[in-house]
Amino acid sequence: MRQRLCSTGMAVVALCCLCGGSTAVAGQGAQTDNGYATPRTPWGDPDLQGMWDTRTYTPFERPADFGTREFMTEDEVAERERLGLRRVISDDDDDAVAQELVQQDVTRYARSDAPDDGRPGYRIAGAEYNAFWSSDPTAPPLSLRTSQIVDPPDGRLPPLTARTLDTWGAREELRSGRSQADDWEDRGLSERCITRNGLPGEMLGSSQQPLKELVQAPGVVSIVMPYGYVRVIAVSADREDMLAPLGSTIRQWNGDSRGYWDGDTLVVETANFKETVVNAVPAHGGPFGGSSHVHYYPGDGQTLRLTERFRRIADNTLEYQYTVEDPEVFVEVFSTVNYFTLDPWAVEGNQDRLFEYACHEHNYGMVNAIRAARVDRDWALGEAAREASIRRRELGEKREQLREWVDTRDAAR
Amino acid sequence: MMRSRSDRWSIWRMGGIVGMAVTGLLAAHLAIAQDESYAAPRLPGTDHPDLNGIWQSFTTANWDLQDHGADAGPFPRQLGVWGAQPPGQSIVLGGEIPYRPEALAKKQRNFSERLVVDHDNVNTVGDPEAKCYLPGVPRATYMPFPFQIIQSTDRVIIAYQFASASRTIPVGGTSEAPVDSWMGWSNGHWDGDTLVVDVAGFNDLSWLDRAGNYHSAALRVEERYTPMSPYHLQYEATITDPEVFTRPWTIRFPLYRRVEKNLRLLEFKCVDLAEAYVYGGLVEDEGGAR
Repeated sequence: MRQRLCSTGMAVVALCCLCGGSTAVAGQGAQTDNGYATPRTPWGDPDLQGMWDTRTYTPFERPADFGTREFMTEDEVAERERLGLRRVISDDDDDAVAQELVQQDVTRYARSDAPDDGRPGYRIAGAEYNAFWSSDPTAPPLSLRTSQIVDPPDGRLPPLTARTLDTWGAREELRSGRSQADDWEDRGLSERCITRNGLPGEMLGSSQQPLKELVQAPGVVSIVMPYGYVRVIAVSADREDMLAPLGSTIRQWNGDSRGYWDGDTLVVETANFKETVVNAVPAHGGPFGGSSHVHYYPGDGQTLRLTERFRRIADNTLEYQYTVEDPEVFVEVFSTVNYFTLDPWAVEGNQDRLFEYACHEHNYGMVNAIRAARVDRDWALGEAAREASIRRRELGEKREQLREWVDTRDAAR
Repeated sequence: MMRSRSDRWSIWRMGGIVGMAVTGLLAAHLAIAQDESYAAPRLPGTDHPDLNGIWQSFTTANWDLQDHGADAGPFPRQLGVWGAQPPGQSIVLGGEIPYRPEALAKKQRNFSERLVVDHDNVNTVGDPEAKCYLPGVPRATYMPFPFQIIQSTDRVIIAYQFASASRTIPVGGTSEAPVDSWMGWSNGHWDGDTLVVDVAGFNDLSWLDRAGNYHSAALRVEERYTPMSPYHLQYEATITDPEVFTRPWTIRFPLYRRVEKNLRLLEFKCVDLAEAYVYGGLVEDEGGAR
């Protein structure tokens, strides 16, 4: 995969954002030297520190139109801009944003006085909550990449293995007859405040939580995650000197990460993942689909290996690559490339740290969900069955993907 | 390019297999021998001592900050001495916490309700520790779990094992908490070789120990981390909360460096270990769907 990246030799050209903000952008041929001299910490390590905006507008999987093409042309990007495929939430006009939030509150309260029309959650409009938490004056830069996945070359997530699909099916059987919240384990890990999306998915920012802060000390790189923990990674001068791996009986929600320097690149290897962690696939919905409330990682975390590479390619740009290997779960290894940018809001001194998450401490939603499912268990069973039917359809689609992949492979032989 | 952990660590490389108990004794002796004359190695690029490492306290203060004798603990029939309270001497300078008389009653009520789970008041009744809530400051420091200090040139991160709690401490400059939180809002500065951290912006939900000692949202904590040997820091925290206490009071105890080879801060993300405790009562009424 690295060889392939190397051979592209393509430079991603800087691109000005059309929508206000000063964003420029990201990227260059992955292994080519762009002449950038990575700054050093006083103790001599490459300095990757800062408050990084880790959002991306690059789709995880490549839209089929692009085939095996890794990069868009600038004209294609301009067209996507015109179509509004990239949106900036705020225009820096704080008063207007505040006014709009007030108006949304007014609307919400007006609705709450309306008669109950029988829909569950009828008093919640949704948008006001999301708009408030999502407001952010900056926008991440665009990359010309057509997908985050760069390997396999079609930019698509490799199919799940037959064995994993069988495991998935078996889990669905076990779940049948349970309601949406017979107890807490019927809810997803995110709602339980255990992991948000798991690694590596939550290394990429969302509009709610765009930032990660990297702080280094001699022999250590820490990544302050916005979801209530810090990744503390012991980093050695080379791979041979890495911390010894943990014994296989120690399994952690966020795995066990060990790092080393490969030139100016920080390489982090993570294993010892806990079973049933929602990881390996970014954003909502693991391989089990985001439509359902329970989407566990379908494998036993035992065989999952995550390798991340962090490299500063400009003062304000960090290239972030990761590779997922789990032969029990995916038929092939896959790799992605993303770009993080220094958050200008933090650079200007407006935000000096990430705020505490404290999700579990205020998880009134879990109490309410369990209570609600007992108040009307028939309804909660019906909803669970409806979700299960969506997952069954997804399972069928995954089986079809696997069949196509096998056919293509066999035809090529 | 990469400095290995330099000369100062060579002594612990040699002693890497020395057990914690021995290290503790050694550190205690060094404390007596070296006291305040100890000159800690500097963090490269700064004039400040290097506090990086994995640290842990060895007190029983999480049971009770003040003097406490051995006790059976809350569930002797189920747990035997697994659940028993070990004895320990007060870490409060002067021994006693200066409660306002009316506030002492709440401490006593906290203790009697320490293991009560009230689903309508899920984060205001009972010891937050049992529910895997963020421990607050200074309690995080004397929980029986290690924590790691990651010290860079202008900021310090503290990552605690318990509940994956953490703090970001910018060093130099001061900012105000935008809103209250469990772990508070920390601002650091150096006073000679002592890292001083002013912490404010707390909510009133965390407790100070299992004995029900508590604080209000008016709490301010001034922490002082002072290197006393390669293996230990002196930790001191002064607690000011006029709504609960009649005057500021101070706790003090050493922090010990964890020196085991290949050690890292393992995950104690305890939410899934606490769910049956926190939510179990909600499902037991029907004989359990579990």
